[in-house]
Amino acid sequence: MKGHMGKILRLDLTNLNTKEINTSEYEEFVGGHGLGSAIFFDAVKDKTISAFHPDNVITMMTSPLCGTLAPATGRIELNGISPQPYPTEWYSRSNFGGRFSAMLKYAGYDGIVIEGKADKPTWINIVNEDVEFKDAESLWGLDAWETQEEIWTDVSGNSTSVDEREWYQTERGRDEGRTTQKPAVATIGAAGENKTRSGAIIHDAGNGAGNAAFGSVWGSKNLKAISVLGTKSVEVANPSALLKSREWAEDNYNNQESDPKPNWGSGVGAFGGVPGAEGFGNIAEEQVRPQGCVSCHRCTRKRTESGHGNESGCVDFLFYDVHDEQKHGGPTKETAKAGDLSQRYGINVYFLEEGINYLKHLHERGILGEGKEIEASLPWDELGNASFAKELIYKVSNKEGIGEDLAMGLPRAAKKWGRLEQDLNSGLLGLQYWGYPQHYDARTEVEWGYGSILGERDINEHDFNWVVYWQVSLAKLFGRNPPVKAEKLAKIIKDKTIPYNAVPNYSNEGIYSKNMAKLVAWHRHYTRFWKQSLQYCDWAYADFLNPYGPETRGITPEGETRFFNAVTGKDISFKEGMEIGRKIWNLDRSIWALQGRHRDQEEFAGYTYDVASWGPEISPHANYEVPYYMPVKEDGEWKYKNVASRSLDKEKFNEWKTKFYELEGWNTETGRPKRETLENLGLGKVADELEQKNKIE
Amino acid sequence: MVNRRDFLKGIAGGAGAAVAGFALGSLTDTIEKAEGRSFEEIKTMVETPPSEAYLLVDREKCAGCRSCMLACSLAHEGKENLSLSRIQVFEDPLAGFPDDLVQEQCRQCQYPECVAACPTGALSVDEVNGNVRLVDEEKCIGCQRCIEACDQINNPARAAWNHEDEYSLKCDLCIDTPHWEENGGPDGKQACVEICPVNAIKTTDQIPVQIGQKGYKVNLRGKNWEKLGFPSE
Amino acid sequence: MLEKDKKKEKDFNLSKPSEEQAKKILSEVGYGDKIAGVRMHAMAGNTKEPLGSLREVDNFLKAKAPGKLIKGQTSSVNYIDPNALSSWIKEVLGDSELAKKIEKNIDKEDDYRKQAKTIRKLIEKRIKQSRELISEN
Ligand code: SF4
Ligand code: SF4
Ligand code: SF4
Ligand code: SF4
Repeated sequence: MKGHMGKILRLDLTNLNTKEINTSEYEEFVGGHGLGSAIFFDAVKDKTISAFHPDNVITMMTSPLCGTLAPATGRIELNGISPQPYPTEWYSRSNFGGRFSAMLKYAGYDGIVIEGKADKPTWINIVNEDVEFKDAESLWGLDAWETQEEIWTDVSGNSTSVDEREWYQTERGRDEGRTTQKPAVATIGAAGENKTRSGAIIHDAGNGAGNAAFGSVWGSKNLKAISVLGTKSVEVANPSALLKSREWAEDNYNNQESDPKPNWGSGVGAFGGVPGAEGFGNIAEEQVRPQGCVSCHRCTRKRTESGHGNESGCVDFLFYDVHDEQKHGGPTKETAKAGDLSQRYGINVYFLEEGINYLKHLHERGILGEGKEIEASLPWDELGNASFAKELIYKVSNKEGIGEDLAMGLPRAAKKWGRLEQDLNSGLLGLQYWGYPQHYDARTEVEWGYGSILGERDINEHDFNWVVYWQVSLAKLFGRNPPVKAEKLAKIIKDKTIPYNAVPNYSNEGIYSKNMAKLVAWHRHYTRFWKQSLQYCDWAYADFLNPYGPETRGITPEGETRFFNAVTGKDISFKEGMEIGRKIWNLDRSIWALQGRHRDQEEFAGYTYDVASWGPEISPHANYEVPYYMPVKEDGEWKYKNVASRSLDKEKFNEWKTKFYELEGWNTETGRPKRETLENLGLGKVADELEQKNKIE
Repeated sequence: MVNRRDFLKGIAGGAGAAVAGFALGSLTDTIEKAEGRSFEEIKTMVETPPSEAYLLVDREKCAGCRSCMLACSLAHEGKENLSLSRIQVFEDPLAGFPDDLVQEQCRQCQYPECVAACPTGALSVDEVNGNVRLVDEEKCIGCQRCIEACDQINNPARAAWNHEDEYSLKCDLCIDTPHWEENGGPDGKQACVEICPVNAIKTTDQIPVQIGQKGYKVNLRGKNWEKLGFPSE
Repeated sequence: MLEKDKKKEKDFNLSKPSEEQAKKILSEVGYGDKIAGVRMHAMAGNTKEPLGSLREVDNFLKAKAPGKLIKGQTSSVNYIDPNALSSWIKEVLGDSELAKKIEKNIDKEDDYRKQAKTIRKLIEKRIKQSRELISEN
């Protein structure tokens, strides 16, 4: 397939040697997550091993689109057994952006498979065909930024400053090509080195794969960093069609400087969002620029004058800004500095966000502190200053003091403290699915919660989220009309969610309906292929509503298919892509079945069923409805309605699960895929393995 | 900025005077060199007819997405390769704005060292096409003298080596883009300009004021840019 | 002063509290008496922040000032339900006058940004008043 480089690099850390896989062997899985799952399935014989077992394999896969002009495809997908989920260490996924994915392709590879365990700290230097296992003794202990600076200088023999720039690789450049680019380095910090359950993989200033804690798996394998530099070409089947499609997208769907519409649905999502919308920066009154991953058309992050908060986005600083604001009366550089620390130590910011909140509640209740039931010495007076974040991050990353418990992750720490069940039932500890912090709430925005519990982590996919919740709720809150009426939104979503034509009815009946099963199925299949396998970014796709689009309609599904076909020379329809997504989703589901997944485990934390969505009991004054407007169809009428006071009905949710399993062709008793379903998807081999292990009925 | 005719007039009185002449604007202090050379050096150089268009880049606006590079490589070579792009953008992700990024484009120099260095005439001033400094791939023997010559005045060289098809590459303002349906060249469109999502590249027919290694003093940011929370000054 | 401005001014009038009242108004209440602020964010979801004093409430509302939202860059809102807030002020801080003024003023608005602005104006006035009173004596 055009767009593929043709080779996948296998790094055997145990024996310090490399092998290659021909990408064509796995071509049906196309890229990213699909390639990762298929290779993982073959490479890991016993799927029940723990995340830190040397036989665990981490795959890092690009797609045919990475490194091309297809907009917002600068990401790379990671797969493997994850130390983060609770109670089971599920096979999981993560993903990061920046330059790494494109550079890996320019070096000639569609992906990397990391296997085994080195007996001492090691880093890998890839320059085109040359792959070298290097001693990382002197890098071990350096933070993620220091490590990259060392490697940049080592590989390019050059200063890191842009004002002393040169073409690198001049001695081999005549035949192999030169580059002005820095090597792209992915690395871990202390949180990964010390095998906490929150170790992230960091690249450049602010790209990170945080959730799934694969950085800690690298740590367990003694792998400190991978550096790639390449000068090869990515072949494109139809260059002029790709250029034309990109111009079409720029002209019809991207934000226009001449006509900025940041207020239209908040300026954040999706395809046409304004530059810099995600990044930290001007909220602390600093001069900034927007910054984008390779090929991005909207460039959502920022770099700042001081360099603090460079490329940090979203939760990278949102985990701390509220504390900063409370201390200083507004956001200051302390938030950016806290973000920097999370990047340097390579620690998952979702863990920090929920962790700080939980610790604060326990502290204020007199349960946690010096000489308290849970012994912890933390500088609470400094909360809001970067020094508090530093103390906490340092302790967790180095397993010191209270950090020793927290390094196990929040669910395992709470369990050790004897608090897990009680705090999950009251909602004081907001871990809604598989020990992951509640992101969007299963009680209100069900597709987020359902997708997460049927999967293995917080899905972190904003496809529906922008349009069914955020844009609407914000408009209602500010006394404006939402961008479109509920009926029109429902129609657009129905039209665009090919081939299931899902109806976004979030009413009390709608959330348990077969329609919601169709919507969730569409979401699972769509993201598995179009996003996680092709690397279309969550900040741009899916695009249902777009302020610049014709009749405010977004680029989905035309865009996804158009760019893909131009690069690969295929002529697939959107529906065919969805079918590949269904196949990958069933493969994942089979891996989880082999790990012991059963429908009975697919239950949310207790508070989801018992506590209304306004959250945990702090005081009688803390329980009120937060505007959570969503489209509902009641008595035949579409409207937006506040659904904030809702909790889920366990019995109805379980009936819904049965409907969902039926729709997917899974056994309704166990939730595992049926042989027939797998065979129809061309996954007969997978069915055989399930049968061998008694996981198929 | 001065236009082409003013520049030519200046040249008639001696290159040094010409450059000093237009340096008398607001930038007198910052201009010690033009096109990476001292005025003394320029006096000794061969004069060529100025290009009819120039690429302008705004280092404080660029978002580092490399889309321009991908567009340049794709339009000309039909494949994606940052090493085959005639414009180069690179970053130090850890540095502070605006010292974290540069865009380096060919300046279509008034005194093109690359043209002067080429032994075969492969790199010449193309009078048919608006005096753009252009490589004729057929005539190029791959000696790379143009690259070395440009490297003497520009860091890094703006002429680059196509290692796959073995000839020298430099910005042709998109005159020869077999993989792009638009008409390029000084009077046409440029792929990088069209594709850049934040409008950080533009063309002009005025000879830009150049400040040594830092390139041009260009501000492509306006009121709307400021509305999005970015600096326009 | 225009008639309508005079009327507006009146909406924000607060009578002078006693010293005892002022102390209570400025106090920091215990965990079980706190009110919650909800930080809503487009990308990150909602989180709940316990707030224990008028100063904290003011900081919370101030941090996400309306102007920032118009720029579309900080896509978050710090939300406190105005009714919950007024009853907290009445019941926990014992300031029924402030509570009533808040209720009365926000009734006229359906834009939360404007409500938050009004609330802050009243709260800040009350804080200033109480502080002055305490430092006088
Ligand atoms: S290649 Fe170099 S010397 Fe030649 S015109 Fe461009 S910038 Fe000037
Ligand atoms: S490499 Fe080609 S274009 Fe450059 S100087 Fe040599 S012959 Fe001329
Ligand atoms: S004008 Fe054309 S040739 Fe020159 S850098 Fe831009 S895309 Fe490349
Ligand atoms: S396309 Fe524009 S924003 Fe992106 S790197 Fe090029 S000049 Fe910068």
